[in-house]
Amino acid sequence: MTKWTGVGRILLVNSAIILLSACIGIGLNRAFVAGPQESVYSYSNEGGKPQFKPFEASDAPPVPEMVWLQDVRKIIDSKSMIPVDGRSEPDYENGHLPGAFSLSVAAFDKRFQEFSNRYPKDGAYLIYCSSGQCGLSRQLASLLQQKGYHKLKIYLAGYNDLFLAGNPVEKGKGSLIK
Amino acid sequence: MSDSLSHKRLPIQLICLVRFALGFVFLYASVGKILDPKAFAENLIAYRIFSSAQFLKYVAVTLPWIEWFCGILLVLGVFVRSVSALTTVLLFVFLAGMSSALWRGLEIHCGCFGSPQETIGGVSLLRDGFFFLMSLVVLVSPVDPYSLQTFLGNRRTHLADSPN
Repeated sequence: MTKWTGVGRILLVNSAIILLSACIGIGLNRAFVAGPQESVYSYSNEGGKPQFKPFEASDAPPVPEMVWLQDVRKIIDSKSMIPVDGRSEPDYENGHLPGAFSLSVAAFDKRFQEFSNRYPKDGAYLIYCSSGQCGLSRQLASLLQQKGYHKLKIYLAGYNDLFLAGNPVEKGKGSLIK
Repeated sequence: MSDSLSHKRLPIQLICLVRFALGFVFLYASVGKILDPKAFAENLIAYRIFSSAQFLKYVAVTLPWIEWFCGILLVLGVFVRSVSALTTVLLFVFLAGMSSALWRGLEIHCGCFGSPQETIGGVSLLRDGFFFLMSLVVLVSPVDPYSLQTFLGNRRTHLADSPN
């Protein structure tokens, strides 16, 4: 009789656990795994609850329009807006929206000069960060509004949403190359 | 041999307690991730280990259920040796992932218990290191008599030995 502690028995039991877990996990989350799918929600830290509707602000300046995955795909395909990435530069290098400019909120003062040299104030810009939790997209939009950029839209669900939906992203230094 | 050595060093009640505690830790860790796999997937993205979104999503929906099965089997005391081997490997992988993130200077959410609030750091490493040691203790120790597998084994032996 095979000894209970045998390596073969351990491998067999663990393979069964992993296989069963995969079947249950994938089976219960088919819509999430199947991707690309339409994102219908995002998360916010506001009140510690999921934020199902675009963020509303009460004070001026007006909050830019929120856009969702389907619109973002069209914007990327048509190149009708310039994506602007508010995350840190290492995050940008790890992956960003195609054609995005890295304008990290943390390095805004350092990077804004280059941004303003390249892009006019009357251009249209799509602001994003990693997800609805990060809040950097709203901060960046506010900073750009103060500098006179008003044609802004915010992709609240951000890079993570686009990446998880299986859409192509760009990697590398991109706009950080001088 | 390892069985007899650890048996001499650790009281059987302590081994049982460690098994229970480790099982509950895995159960607790799995629940938040099972309920919100997308948030867990976003935590995994931040580690910058996965280049394939599809593979990442498979990991995000499968790993919490592996943790759940490990937790429930450890608490019940079924397949203890096999499950503790798996938890030891899992905890080693978690430690390696967190160490790698810290080494690269990433300030990211741990994602350890499905909570987005905890940022990885020395405390997370120490805690997971402690869980890793607990898992090793269960792995090298004899299966304690309070486990379901011992109970069922004894019952089978008793039935086989009885005259009827």
